[in-house]
Amino acid sequence: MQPADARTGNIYDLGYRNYTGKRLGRRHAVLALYFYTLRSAFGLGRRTSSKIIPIVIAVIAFLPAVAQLAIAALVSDEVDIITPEGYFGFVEVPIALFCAAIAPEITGRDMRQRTLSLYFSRALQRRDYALAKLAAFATALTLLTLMPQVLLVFGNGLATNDVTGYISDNWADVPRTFAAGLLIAVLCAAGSLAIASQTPRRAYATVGVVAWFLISFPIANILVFAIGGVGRYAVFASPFDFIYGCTLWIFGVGAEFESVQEEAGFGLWTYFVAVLAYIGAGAALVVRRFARVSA
Amino acid sequence: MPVPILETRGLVKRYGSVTALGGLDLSLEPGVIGLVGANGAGKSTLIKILLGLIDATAGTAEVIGYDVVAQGPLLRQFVGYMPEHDCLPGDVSATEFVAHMAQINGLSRSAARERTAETLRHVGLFEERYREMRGYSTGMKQRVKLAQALVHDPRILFLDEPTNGLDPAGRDEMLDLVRRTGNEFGISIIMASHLLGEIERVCEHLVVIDAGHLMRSGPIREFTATTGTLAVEVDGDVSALHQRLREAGLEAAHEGRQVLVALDGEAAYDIIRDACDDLGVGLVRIELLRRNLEDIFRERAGEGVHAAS
Amino acid sequence: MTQESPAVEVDHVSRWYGNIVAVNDISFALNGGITGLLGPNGAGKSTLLHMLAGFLRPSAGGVRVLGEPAWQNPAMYRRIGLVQERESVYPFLSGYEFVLDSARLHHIAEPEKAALKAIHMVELESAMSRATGGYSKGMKQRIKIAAALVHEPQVLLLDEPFNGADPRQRLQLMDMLRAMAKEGRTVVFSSHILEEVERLADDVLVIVAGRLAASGDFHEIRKLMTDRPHSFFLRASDNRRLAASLVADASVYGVELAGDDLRVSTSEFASFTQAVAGVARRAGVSIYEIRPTDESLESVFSYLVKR
Repeated sequence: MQPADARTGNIYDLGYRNYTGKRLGRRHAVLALYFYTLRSAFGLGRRTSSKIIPIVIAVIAFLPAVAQLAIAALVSDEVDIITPEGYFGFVEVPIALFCAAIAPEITGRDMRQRTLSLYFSRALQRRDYALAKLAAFATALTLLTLMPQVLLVFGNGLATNDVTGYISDNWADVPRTFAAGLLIAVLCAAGSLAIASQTPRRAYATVGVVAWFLISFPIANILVFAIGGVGRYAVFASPFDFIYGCTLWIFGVGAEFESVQEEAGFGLWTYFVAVLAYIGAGAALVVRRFARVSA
Repeated sequence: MPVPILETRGLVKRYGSVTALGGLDLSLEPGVIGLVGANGAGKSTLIKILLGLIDATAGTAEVIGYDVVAQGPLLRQFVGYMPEHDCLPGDVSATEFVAHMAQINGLSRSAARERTAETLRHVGLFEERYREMRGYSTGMKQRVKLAQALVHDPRILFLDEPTNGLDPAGRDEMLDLVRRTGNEFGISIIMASHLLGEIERVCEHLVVIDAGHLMRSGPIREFTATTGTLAVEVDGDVSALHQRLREAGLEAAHEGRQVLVALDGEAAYDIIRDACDDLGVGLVRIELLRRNLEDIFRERAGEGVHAAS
Repeated sequence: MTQESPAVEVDHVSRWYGNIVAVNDISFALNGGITGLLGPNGAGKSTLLHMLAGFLRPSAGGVRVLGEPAWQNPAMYRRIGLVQERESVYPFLSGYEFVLDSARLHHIAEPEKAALKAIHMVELESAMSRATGGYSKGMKQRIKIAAALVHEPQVLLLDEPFNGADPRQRLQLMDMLRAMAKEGRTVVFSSHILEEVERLADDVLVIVAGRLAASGDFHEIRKLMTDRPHSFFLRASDNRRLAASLVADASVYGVELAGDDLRVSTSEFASFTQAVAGVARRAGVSIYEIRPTDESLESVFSYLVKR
């Protein structure tokens, strides 16, 4: 409060001010795009209707964990209905749905709305853009692959009233779970963006991603079971199959009886190599696409 | 001589067998610069190269002293771009989008927020800024496009047909904004436009590109220099005035509502004045005719380059 | 040809879409020459042009073109050409095919010849065998005009024809429209670029919020804006002395001297212009420059829109 006698009047300049603060450059631009994309993957900052699909799918991904915890709470003891690798087998489905629904938005939106020319004329290179998008989408998927498991570990720990004890008992599974969750997320991100980024049209992109996940699956199974021989290699064309194979390898578990992995008969480590190869190829395709797309 | 804001040397761009730019040499000082050229003359190609959206086939380009290729990311922190085409996502608000672009431009989160609020106010976007952009009018969209180009306080701004689709009131406001941005904010502007009237209103310097080459470059006033002809417009009997002026010994021609008089010494002014008074015709206009920016395009292509006055 | 009736006659025409009134009780008549159709975005210009072309039925009132109703009158299409604003070319057709199709649709006797003639008119011969999908905006615009002209319509309607055209193409298009008007055709075009309308159009139609705000020669419209003072810029051998003399004149109600400029406001355009030469003469001042500063189509337009 000013003293009553000190009467002064001021008019402040509201005119344009030059920005004299720091310019944080390319790295900051990449991070900004990463976080913006991550947010938009879940429809944050957008209209409510954009949030529905990601949230519904996330709920599906969490459902088994929540169900198991509910049972554990009822019997107030640790319940191990679902193994970590089993959870990955289940979570593949909501992941595929998420990819089909959201991947086309991650890359297609900027192409459709022609925002690319704004990005590419900034302190950001085309490759930066591609990798930031890929990293953000992989992060979004990682949340779906790992968060239910984290919830499960803590829930189970709480149910046994000994969180640290529970975690140390199951310690061996923690790095495996993280490795598998991360690999699955990065693979699905790279694969689905490699497909979705080829077209600005959402419908085409969605169909492409769905085909990659779902159409390959029955075809591969038919080829493996009915034909065998060279047909066995089809298992490497079906993401559901080789992802699961890779997960089994990470957890050191053998292929289940009469599963497609058992029928195909490859060493489980080959699925791990396949996942790495797909990630490399997918990322390369995304980078190549944005290196060439006109802006 | 001040440091050039833009300099190209032997800039070439070929698309297959088509040459869009055929060795462009250009050096421009800071200011508001109009860029004109026929469709397909290489204007957009030039802007895209300067923005780093495409690579030149040969030659070099520097903007505010930075090489557009080697120092691209560094340079483009200081560059703003307002494209001709739509570039706004429909499902986010102007605030959200501009703040995001500000961060992409290297501003911290908090700086981005503040500058966004201020820039949107400057371009004249108020309550609408929190609404989704899909419902915006053309005028509002153009404002947001300008805001995202300005939000990081660039040193040079590329505007591609900034009044595209605007109605007369919207054009007026946009041109005013562009002029203020150049004059008050001290930002150099390269404005591409097909509307010479607009260029004349806003720009200090004009660059004309034709068939991938520099056709003309010079201050606007060089292109609109006065001629030695007076236009006299009257409300009344034009032919009587025409005859009277000729009788008085002036070289005069009758054209529509005007008499064009070759200005041959100060005496002509008083002859015109007295003739109007004697004849009782209303004197609406006495004005030295100026050369028209359009004259550059009057000549057919092929007659090509003619020397600066 | 029935030259007794106006080329275009619009009689109390309205058009509404649900509760949205795009065109509201408009009446006017046009006869030959070039008419500029002006109005803010969303004022109803395109709707009006579509009704003139017979592509859209008026919700009320009637449109007659060359003496016949425009709506549901297929014979009319042969005498009207409409160039729409949207880029409505088929990208896979070549320019020539596009214009030729239009010629065939109009049942012209020698469609090939007519197509070539129209393409020559818009100077697209060099690109006519290429697919229109690869055309620039200005080229698409011109090929659309060629297609709309191919049957040499008596009435040509153009919605924002200058959009995307470069300065040279603008000049060409203006010359072309002038030539068509000279042949006795009726040309109506909408534009946001008032300088162009001012130079090209004989008359203007100004539409604001679906209603006709003014029509006719814009100089005449300006004279009707009596509540808006006319202002003049002057430069004389002795500005101060001329200012003093002008203040004494009854037609002048404001004089402003600022540096080298002298600005005069008057409510009576005619009396002032009549008086100014005499006043200067008696004061012994030479007038080097005098020009009205508020007589452009732009000022007329902004007056009409803000009214």
